[in-house]
Amino acid sequence: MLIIRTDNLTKHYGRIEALRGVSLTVEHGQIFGLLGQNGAGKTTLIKILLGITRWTDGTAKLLDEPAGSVRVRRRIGYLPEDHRFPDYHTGASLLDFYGALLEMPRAERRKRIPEVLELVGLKGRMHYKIRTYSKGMKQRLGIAQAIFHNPEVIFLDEPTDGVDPVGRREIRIIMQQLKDEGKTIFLNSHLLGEVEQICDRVAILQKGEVVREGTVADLTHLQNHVLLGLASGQTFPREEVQKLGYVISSSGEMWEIGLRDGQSIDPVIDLLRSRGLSIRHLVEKRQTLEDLFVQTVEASEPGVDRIIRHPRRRPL
Amino acid sequence: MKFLAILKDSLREALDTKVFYVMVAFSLLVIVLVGSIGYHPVSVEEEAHRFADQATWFLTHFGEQHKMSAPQRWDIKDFEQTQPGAAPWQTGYRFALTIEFPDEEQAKQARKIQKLMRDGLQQQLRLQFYYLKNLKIADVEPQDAKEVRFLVTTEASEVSRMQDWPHYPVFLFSLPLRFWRMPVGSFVQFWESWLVNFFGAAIALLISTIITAFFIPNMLRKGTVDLLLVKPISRSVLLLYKYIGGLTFIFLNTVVVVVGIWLVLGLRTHMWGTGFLLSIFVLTFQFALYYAVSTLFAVFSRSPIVAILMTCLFWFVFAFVIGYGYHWVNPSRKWRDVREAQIEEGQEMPSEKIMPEKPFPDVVYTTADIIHFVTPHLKDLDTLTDKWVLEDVISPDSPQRKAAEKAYAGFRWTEAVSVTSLYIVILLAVSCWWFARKDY
Repeated sequence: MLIIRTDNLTKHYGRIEALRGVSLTVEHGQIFGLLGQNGAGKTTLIKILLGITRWTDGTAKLLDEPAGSVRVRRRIGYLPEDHRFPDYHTGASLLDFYGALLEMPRAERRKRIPEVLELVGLKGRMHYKIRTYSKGMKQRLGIAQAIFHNPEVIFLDEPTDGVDPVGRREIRIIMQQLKDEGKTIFLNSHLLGEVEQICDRVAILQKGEVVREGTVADLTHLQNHVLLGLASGQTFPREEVQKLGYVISSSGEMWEIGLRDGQSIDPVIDLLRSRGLSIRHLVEKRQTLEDLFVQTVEASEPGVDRIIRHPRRRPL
Repeated sequence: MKFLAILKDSLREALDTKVFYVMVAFSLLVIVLVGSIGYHPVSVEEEAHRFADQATWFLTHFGEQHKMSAPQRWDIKDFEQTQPGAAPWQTGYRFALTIEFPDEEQAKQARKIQKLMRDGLQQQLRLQFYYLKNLKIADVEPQDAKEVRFLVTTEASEVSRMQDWPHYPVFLFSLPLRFWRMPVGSFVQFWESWLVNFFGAAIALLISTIITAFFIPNMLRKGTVDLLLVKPISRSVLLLYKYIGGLTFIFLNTVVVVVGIWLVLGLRTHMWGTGFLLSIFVLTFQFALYYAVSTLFAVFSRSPIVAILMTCLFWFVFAFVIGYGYHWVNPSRKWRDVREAQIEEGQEMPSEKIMPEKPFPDVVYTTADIIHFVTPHLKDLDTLTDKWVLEDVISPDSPQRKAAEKAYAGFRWTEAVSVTSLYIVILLAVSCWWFARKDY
């Protein structure tokens, strides 16, 4: 079941193209990570899906309704990146206010407020003014308000920003719990390690375009690269292996062997065995999400904004 | 539920500002101040003694110094009410005014000009006791060779109610201002009109504008607005609820101030006319217009400073320049009629030079009428409050009331309310349209 679907989504801010034909799908129960440099269009995409910003062209659907419609907004939770809660509220009164706007009955609000604040570790400070909260506490409160009304889809824009490592771990656990409950989470984060740990699928947005998309496993998998290690004290016959037509490079104590299309690692193993060498490691090489991200954005054009150039009018 | 939530949020926001407490303190101070003023009916006997004492003091200090008169002592004797036990306004008075000289010779000299003195005294006493009817003064035989004696008599006044009898105020429970004498109704009218049209319209509306000017820009701050826009409420409704929330807050505050003043004035004067209470709606209506201006500029600029400055500019242009300008130009059409009426009543001397029909060319009146018609009628709304207060406290047959009713007859209340309402609707419609189409 598709929860989010965008087709050829485009957004212009005057002459600046923030999104260029973005087509994405997010399925029910997934944690979807959206990656990209600053200004790549991640927040714009989220804001379009939530109805905060209007799109210029294309289509965007959320929960089978046009993105941003009032009916959809009842079913979503959102934590913006640079959120600024009214600091005259306490944590509890803020949730009560937002709950009332979400048409939650008063009794339910009263029941949910301590529950949710306990979940994010703020129950002890629920009656304190928000202006007394630290950045990390505000971030926890942000997560609390995003999940307060038990939404089906949760958009989290940098949810661990300003949170200490223990808090980050707790937030990851909360996200995992939400996923287990069948919620769909759309996550924007610069912390690629976290995204890699928790997301099912990711997309990389660069200059308003989706340049990579897929499962974390697919994207980090490096086809035709094998890491091989021998028992200690043994010498790897590099030149002989190269003569077989393999690309060899050193990777710490191991050797990275590149396989050309159709090439098998078996001749290398046969060679090592015939020499009486003991193979201790033989694994298919993977790259981190960070490696992938850096490679992807470095491969793209530099800069972040694309300006639409209108043809200059010529005098008649 | 959403409206109540936004209203509660606005209240919470207002309570968080220091300006709110300044406003509350200011309002309470005004209520306490008004409540501290008592109104004491003027006593004819005390006034007569005061008149005599003042004359003695004046003639002693200035008359002798400048050799204008002989040393003398004025006194009131044999003071009595013609109807003992009646209320001060329901009885006539009779008393002797004596002037005592140091020796018989000086008294004898004074008696020679007693008739002249009597005419002057009658004029002075009629001015002093303007509220007494048919005050007469007559020469009577002195009881002592050193004195000159006059008999002063009056009839019961035409005043039928206590409120119409002159009173003097006693400030802060203990500070009498005996020189300031007016009927209680006039005091009530003074406070109510002054409080509504000066304190209310100017200071309270300015403070209210400052407090509420932060509501919408704060809501539109980056990171705050996003959290509201994702809630299942349309942008126009959100903005209107926020507007109504601010307006309700000011309405409640106005209720407290006006009802507080009305209560303390009622307790002090026993005048419980409800016209003043209607000013709650006029003040709130005026504020609705200013807040609509503030909302528009808040939505455009997201800056409370811009919203406050533009609202003040709006007030200056529409209420001050155009409002007062029109209220100055408009009555001049009737200057000639007024002057002719004054000449007929003998208040003015006829002049050979004939006054022009209107002091300005017709184009000035046409332009003023058009500008007045197409702009919010803020000054007319002030006059509306004055009218209600006046009808409450001034008796229908008093000249003041009749003159005011003549002036009010020219105002078109429905036009004032309709045009001003139209402005509020247009300003809010533009604000909603802008807010609804803007990307955040």
